[in-house]
Amino acid sequence: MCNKILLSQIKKHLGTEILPQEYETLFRAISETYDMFEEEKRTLEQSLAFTCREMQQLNEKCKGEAEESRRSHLQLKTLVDNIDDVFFTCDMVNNKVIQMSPACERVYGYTSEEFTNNFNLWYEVIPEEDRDIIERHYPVLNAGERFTIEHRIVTRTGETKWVETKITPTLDKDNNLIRIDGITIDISESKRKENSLRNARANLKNILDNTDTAYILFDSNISVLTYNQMAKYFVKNVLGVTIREGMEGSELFPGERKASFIRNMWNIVKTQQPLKYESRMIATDGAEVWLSISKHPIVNDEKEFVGVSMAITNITGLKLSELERVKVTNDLIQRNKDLEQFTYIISHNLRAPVANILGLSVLIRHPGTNRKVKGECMKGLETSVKRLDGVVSDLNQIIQVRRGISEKKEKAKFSSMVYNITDSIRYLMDKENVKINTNFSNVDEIFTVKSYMYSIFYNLISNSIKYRKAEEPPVIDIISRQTEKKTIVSFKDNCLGIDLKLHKDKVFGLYKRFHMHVEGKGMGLYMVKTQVESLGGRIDIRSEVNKGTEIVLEFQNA
Amino acid sequence: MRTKVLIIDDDPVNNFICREMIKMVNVDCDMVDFTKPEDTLDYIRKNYPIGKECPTTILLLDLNMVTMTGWEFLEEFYKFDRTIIGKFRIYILSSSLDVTDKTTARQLPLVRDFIVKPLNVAILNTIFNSV
Repeated sequence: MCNKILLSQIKKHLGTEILPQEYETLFRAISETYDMFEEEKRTLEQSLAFTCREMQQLNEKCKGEAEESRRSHLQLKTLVDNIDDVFFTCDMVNNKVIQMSPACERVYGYTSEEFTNNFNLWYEVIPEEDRDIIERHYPVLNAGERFTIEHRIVTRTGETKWVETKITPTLDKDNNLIRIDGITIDISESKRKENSLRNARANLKNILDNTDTAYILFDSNISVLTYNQMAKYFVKNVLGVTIREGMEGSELFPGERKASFIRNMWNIVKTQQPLKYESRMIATDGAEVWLSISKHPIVNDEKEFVGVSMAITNITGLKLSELERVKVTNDLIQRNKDLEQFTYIISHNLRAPVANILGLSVLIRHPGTNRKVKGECMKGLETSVKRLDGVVSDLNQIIQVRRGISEKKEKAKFSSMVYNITDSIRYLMDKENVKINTNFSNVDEIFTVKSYMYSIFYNLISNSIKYRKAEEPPVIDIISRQTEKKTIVSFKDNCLGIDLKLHKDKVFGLYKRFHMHVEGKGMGLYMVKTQVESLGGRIDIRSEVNKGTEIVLEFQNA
Repeated sequence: MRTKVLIIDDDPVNNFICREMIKMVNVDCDMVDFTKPEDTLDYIRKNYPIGKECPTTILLLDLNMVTMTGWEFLEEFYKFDRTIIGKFRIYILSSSLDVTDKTTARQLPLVRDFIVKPLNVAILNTIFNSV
């Protein structure tokens, strides 16, 4: 073995490949050195080539990474630039805005440069009234805690916007604020929506709370979901229960109402039909309350039953005035009938003597009428004229009472009226052995027109004496009592009585008479009724032939 | 038989006028007057026996009477035997100018007419001519 390079050098310089013996050992050593050197060189070359390759690869890799980094930076920038939210970083040691994303121009109307050039700009755009929101958060900021605030800003163009700012402060190891990072988001739109929703809600609540109708909403299990102020008030004052969300609907209604409430509600659940009705209740304070109630099933978009709404309106005033109106109407109808009857009777009773006078004057003028008949005619004329005069004065008396009360009302004592009347007819009382029992212990006084009340008492007492039984002395019981609203006086006698089955509608009629054996005009009970009604009272009669009569007077308390 | 005239009115002056007016028309008739309708019913019961010949009777009836109205009288009167009722010519004699009284009266069976007081010669002539 011989190093080839060495061998070729030897041949070149010696002209032979065969080496002299004496140089062979040296040659071998040189050859080995050569080999080693070559080996060394090859290794070196190899490693160099490797390094070059490595470096090339590395270089390429570096180039790629740089490209990628440039690209991703571009992407990030594009992203940041396109985000409407403003990212910012401030150096709080040097009071400098380090960076502010370009979106600030869209939000604030000021450029990033303007913010970086003017550290206070972000504060200046906040309207004065909102600056305390920022100031309140300084301690939080200095404590290094993250926070989010909402406040307004005024843009370059003068537009007011709502923004939300999230701030992350950074502290150094000595707890000094060195830096803040944050995002500012324009929330004007959502704020506007939120406000309009809040306004709508407030308006709705306002409407519901200020209406005269109580609304209670029940869920599908008839538990209270929600209610308005009126409902709270109504439930408390009328039902005596405190309403609260989640309570069972049946808990709202006391006693006997509970069952019908449950029945009604489940009926609505079953039929899905609304229900509307009027109801009369006695409130906790004992007052009568009339309610208009309407219950509607609530169905969602999927047509599923989800609950019942109940609207309760207090119609007490309306109802009472309606009842009052019915009463007034009935009174008016009765009055009208009375007046028609009155007109009829009066025209009849005026016409009768007039017709007589007409007839008699024909007889008087007739040539064939003799002296004797003429004398009769004159007597008839006198009778008729007197009758006419009587009717006219009755009419006058009735009209005076009917016209209404001009006299002042004052306190009148039942006991003293009875005393005065019996005193004035003492002779008759003694003659007929009349006995009057009175009981005014419950009430002895009435606020009234004294002369009318006296006349009513007088007529009733004298009627009892007039229509006494022949075989039995008259006994009259007069009893008074007072209720919350009325004063009631009853006159009861043991006299002849009137057959009411026959005469009920005529008993208080003008010129109506039921007993012919006694003188009378048929004015007494008519006048009593007229006077009682003029005093705003009512009169009623119970009577049986040969058993007696009871007249009951009712007057409203003053 | 002579024609009979029954006058029923609680007002004696009217009954006097009726009598004198009837005398004025010179008709041969018997006149009886009553101030109580109940008495008239008694009179008819007594003087108009069933199955015997009865006079043609003109009845002058007032409506507005205290003890018994003309309407109530007629209700009782209709209970008499048909042969007796048939003898009567009923005239309502009233001072009423009320139209309803007039129409109601004219609708009643056997009521010939409704005469407004005072009675006069012309009406009496018509009445007696119809007998």
